Amino acid sequence: MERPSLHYLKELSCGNKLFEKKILKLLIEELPMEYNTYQQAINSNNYFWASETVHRIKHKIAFFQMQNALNVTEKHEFALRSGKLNFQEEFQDIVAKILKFLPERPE
Amino acid sequence: MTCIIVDDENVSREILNFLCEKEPGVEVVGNFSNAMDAFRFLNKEDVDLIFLDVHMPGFTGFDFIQTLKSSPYVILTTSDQNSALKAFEYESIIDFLTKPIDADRFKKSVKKVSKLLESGSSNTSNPKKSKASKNQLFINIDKRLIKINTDEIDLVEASGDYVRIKLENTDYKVHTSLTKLKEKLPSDTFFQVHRSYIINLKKIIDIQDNTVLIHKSVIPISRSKRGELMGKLNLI
Repeated sequence: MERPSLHYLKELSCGNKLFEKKILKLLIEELPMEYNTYQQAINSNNYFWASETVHRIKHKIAFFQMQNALNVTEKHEFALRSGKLNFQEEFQDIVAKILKFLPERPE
Repeated sequence: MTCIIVDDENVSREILNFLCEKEPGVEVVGNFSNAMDAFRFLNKEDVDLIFLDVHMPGFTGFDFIQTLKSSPYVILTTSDQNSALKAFEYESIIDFLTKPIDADRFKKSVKKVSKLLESGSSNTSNPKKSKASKNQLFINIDKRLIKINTDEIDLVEASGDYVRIKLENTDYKVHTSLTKLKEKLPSDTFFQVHRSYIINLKKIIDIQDNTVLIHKSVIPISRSKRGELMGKLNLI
């Protein structure tokens, strides 16, 4: 089963802990907010707005090196742009997995 | 090499800043979360390179390039590889980086731009616009950049320090001169018939004596412009 990884961040930072902390802080702050925005958009049936938010979240998913999750998220984004909710449950599971991972990230 | 970063995502901007800091000879002189702020900066300052996000709310990176009178070199950042195909239409786009950005790929991109600058071919001194640019205009109204297809413009009228851009059902008042706006309109379609008026030749309904009818507007034709106007029309 695919799991979030910080390998990309570790490789990018080349050991710069300050940079790693800065990026993780942004992710911890932004992902829950963006997911709330997504839910608001879905609840108000504004699928275009929801797709824009999924697009932003997609970059964060890519960051965690989850290729299958990224593919599913992209499909959900395109479905929303066509006014459909395909892959919504899968997308929600993916975000929940990452949100659970973030506070428990390995140091 | 001076550069700016234009991306609505904080994480992307931080990563690019970090990579630029590590790269010798690259100086980030501006960070912008929206195209509007970047546009205002570039109106005052020249840079060698822009790291530009393709997908920004309400305004794509491609739209942004078209607003610039002369574009520096651009490296596009995107999660969509299909954007690469569109990038070929723009001479200022040197490369594109797929998110999440790979450090080695970033270095290669920057090296490309570096070589171009060393060879003396600065893009700002030899501006090349995309093929599509003169068919679209971006006007600044109330801190928004609004895109207008030039085909939809009926005429432009000078009004003090402003011009009025008249479309069939809308009117825009823009703080600029008729001369400056004329430079941005396709010269084969637009013609200045009077010191205060530029008309879209395709919108002429009829011409009578020294006036031309465009939609419902009667526009005067200067005596000195009449001959040239007639030469542009497909007369039988």
